[in-house]
Amino acid sequence: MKIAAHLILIVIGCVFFSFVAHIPTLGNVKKVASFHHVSPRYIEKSHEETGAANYVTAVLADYRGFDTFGETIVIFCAGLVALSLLGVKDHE
Amino acid sequence: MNKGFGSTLLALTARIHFPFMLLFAIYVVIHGHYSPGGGFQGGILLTMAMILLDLIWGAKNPLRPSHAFLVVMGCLGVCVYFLIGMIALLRSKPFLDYSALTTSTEAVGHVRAFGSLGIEMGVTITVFATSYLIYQVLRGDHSS
Repeated sequence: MKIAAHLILIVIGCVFFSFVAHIPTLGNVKKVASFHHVSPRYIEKSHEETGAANYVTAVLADYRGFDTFGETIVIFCAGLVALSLLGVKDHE
Repeated sequence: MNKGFGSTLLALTARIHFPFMLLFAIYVVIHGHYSPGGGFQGGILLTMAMILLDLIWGAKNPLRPSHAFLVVMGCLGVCVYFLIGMIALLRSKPFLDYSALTTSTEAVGHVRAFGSLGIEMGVTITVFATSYLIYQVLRGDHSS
């Protein structure tokens, strides 16, 4: 069992180290996966289309607004769950 | 002056810091269009201001809301977001398409910025209410 665990660890380690070689170097935008799809559009047009000078806000609140809606609901649900699990007195 | 846990210095420091923390939270939300920031960060900053008061005054915190109030507030934030999305749907455009907030076709960018500002407000309210609720619950307060 212990040997199996070590073997799995070694395999996972090898996979991770082989991926390190493929990480894009800092500032090399052409190697980022999304560069040829949506990134140029966001960079060039987002200010004109959404009125936001900040790309992150433009994507978060406008282009991907539906995503953020889901995130807000998830956060609200987390609060409800915390309240229902911890905020109610025990019935002895 | 209500001295909280017995220290004038702590009470005075909290009193001076609190309004500036609120102001900074609002700045982070509204200025999120031009600098790093937005609804999530602003909501957490609001929570930090409230936690400061809780640390100093504990159960005697004059601004401390009840659990029910916080749940309603979180709901309200989600509703603000949803209703801004519904405006577009009611005007037969895709859900959350902020260009439905205006009838003109020119200079849509400025109007869309208001749409995203509105939903950021909703996110702020929800994040503030939820994170403060989780803090209160983890500290051991029970809803009556």
